[in-house]
Amino acid sequence: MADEDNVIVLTEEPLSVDSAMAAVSRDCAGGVSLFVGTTRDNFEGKTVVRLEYEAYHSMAIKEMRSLCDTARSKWPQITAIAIMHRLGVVPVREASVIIAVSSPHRIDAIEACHSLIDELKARVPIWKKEVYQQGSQWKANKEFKV
Amino acid sequence: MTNKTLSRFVTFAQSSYNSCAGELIIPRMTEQELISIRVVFFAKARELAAVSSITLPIPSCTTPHAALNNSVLPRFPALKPLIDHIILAVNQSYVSEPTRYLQEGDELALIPPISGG
Repeated sequence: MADEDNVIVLTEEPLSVDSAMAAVSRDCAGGVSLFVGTTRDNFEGKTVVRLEYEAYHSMAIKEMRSLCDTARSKWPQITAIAIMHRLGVVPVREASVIIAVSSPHRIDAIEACHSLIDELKARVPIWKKEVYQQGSQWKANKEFKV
Repeated sequence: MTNKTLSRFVTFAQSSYNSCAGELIIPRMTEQELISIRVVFFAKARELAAVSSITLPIPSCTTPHAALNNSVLPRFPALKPLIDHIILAVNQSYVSEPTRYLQEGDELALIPPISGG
């Protein structure tokens, strides 16, 4: 496995599904599974004006690398993995996270992609603040467990 | 502290360096050697502390949770409402039990509930 087979990105720029797809596409891979997390415009009836993400950058990268290693030990057929998370202000409806996994046969890519987003929400130190017309709130993932 | 006790303390501190778990027993009422750690705050913890990182002197032979309770909290009482929800990381790894003592230069992170994704 080469370094470029685990692609980890934290960026303040908009995320691109095409670039996530390109990061994991390989001649030997018969399938790519993609998950795109997008920002919602409401919470308990309150209108969300914008969302702000921040990360413990060095630890988030370390945890995302560790997620890749764990996924590869569970699904050894994985060809490539991309985990991309956006930081800073993310307008409603835009992608905040993209997970892409390729493998020779679809089942490994689909299962690993599902597991990776669940584990990211449980372990990777990134925070989201919802800003409403009045007030704001730091959110908490129900998956958070360490 | 008089000069005499100070010099005894320094001798003692040098002899006990890096021997937190050893047989040496640190007498009560004497000063302990101090080490310096970096403390980093994120999200709600950063807002409540009104700072994103500080360098903090703590006694040697201090666990991460003891550092939080005895050194960080007294300095940032605004963190109290959040404290039951905070998880600690040392040098970019979550703290798990049994834990070790903090070392000079360690980075202690206060991690409020995460919400990435």
